[in-house]
Amino acid sequence: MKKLWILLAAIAVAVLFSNCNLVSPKTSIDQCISNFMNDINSNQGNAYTTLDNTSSYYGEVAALPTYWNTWFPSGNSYTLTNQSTSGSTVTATLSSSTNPVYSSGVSIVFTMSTDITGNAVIHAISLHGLSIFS
Amino acid sequence: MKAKLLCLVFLLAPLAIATAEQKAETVFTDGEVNHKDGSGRTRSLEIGDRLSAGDTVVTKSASSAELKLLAGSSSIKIRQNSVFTLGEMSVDGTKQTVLQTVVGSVAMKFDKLATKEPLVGTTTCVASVRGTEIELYAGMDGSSLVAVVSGAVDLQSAGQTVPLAADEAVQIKPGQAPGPKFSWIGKQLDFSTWNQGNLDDYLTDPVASAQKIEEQLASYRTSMEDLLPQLAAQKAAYDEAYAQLKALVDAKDDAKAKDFRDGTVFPLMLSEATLILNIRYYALTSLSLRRFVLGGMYMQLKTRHPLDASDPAFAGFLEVYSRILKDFEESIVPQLVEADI
Repeated sequence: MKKLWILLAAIAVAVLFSNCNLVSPKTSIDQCISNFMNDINSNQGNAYTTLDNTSSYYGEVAALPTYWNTWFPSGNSYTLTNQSTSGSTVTATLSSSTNPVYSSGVSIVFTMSTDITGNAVIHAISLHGLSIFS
Repeated sequence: MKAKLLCLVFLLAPLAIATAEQKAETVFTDGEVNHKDGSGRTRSLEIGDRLSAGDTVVTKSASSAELKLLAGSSSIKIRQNSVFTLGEMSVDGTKQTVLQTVVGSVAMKFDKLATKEPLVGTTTCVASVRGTEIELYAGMDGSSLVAVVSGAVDLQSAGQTVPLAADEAVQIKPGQAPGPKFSWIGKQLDFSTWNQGNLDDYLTDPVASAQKIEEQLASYRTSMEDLLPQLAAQKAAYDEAYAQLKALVDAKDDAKAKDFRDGTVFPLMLSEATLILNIRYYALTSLSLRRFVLGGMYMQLKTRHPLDASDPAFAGFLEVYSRILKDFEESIVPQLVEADI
């Protein structure tokens, strides 16, 4: 029993000095959007991991790469600029140097929410005024 | 004769994707009730949980759940041993929720909805409702029974429409037109007795029952395959427009490029996304039919003939079953993703 207490105390001290968290850090809004863009650029079948599973479209299209590929054809690189956050709304300009649809940039608006574990997730996406996920 | 069986009659048209949401919230659960979402995650359904299109609710024995549609005050009571899904498809150019009883018994009451009323149905029929209270039974062999408590229903199956008024009911066998209407006295029908009758019919001639499922799945495959060339044409139109846009961008004709992008390219992308949604509806409905109905039929026979696959009825069933699975693998599975399975 004494050894257990010593072990627990050692762990507590280690945690204190290493400044680490025993629980996983929450995903911030910026990180969530960055993850979404990474998925759109390299693994569209994984995009659902950044989306709110209570969104109306979630069950139909979230895990469907062909749906995302319709809006963001693969083989191109997409970037966000002019990104700004106001409350739960993130506005940005989506551009691509290789896809002419986005060469001059179009507006993209993310409506964010929080999942049950406290991580930021994307509840809705409006692309150039079209609601592509909600 | 292999008739072209159309269970759903709808007009596909380009549409604005943004339409009113019709999601549901869980207001009551009792016993073991599970919820599978579109990413494939399954967890216990709890009061307050919200459901979206593509979600499935499964109630076990002596369990039930009640949902409330967020658009309006409609309620959905899912009784024991049922599988219920929320689907979505484009109908007359509008994205519409489809409340589907895959197996089991579900009662729905639609009050004053704020948005367009959803479609309701089973894996073998679909109905549009108007201020209706309705009972839907989906049997183990794919049979359906639709009974109207109040209001009115236009029921469609195999390309035929039957209007039903209060106290009227109709039974539908998979892949077939609705049977004759009969009077329903308004009391709750005994689902167990009705389903036992389906089971008895099935066990009498399992091959015929499996063939009906095969026909039903074929009708979904046909509907889906009708859309695939449209999707291919849409993609080709998009590729052509994409090339034209690229030429305009390369020529640095910014004003023309912007007009062309907004007036041609984005509408083509929207139409393509809509087609993908409808193809997906048929694929997911086929998956439900194959998993919950055909899978259940297989288990019923397997448990009766655990060691003897040479029984004529079982052997005949297995032949049809294998054919269905092969066809399913070839035509439906390519439209599914890992999370669905």
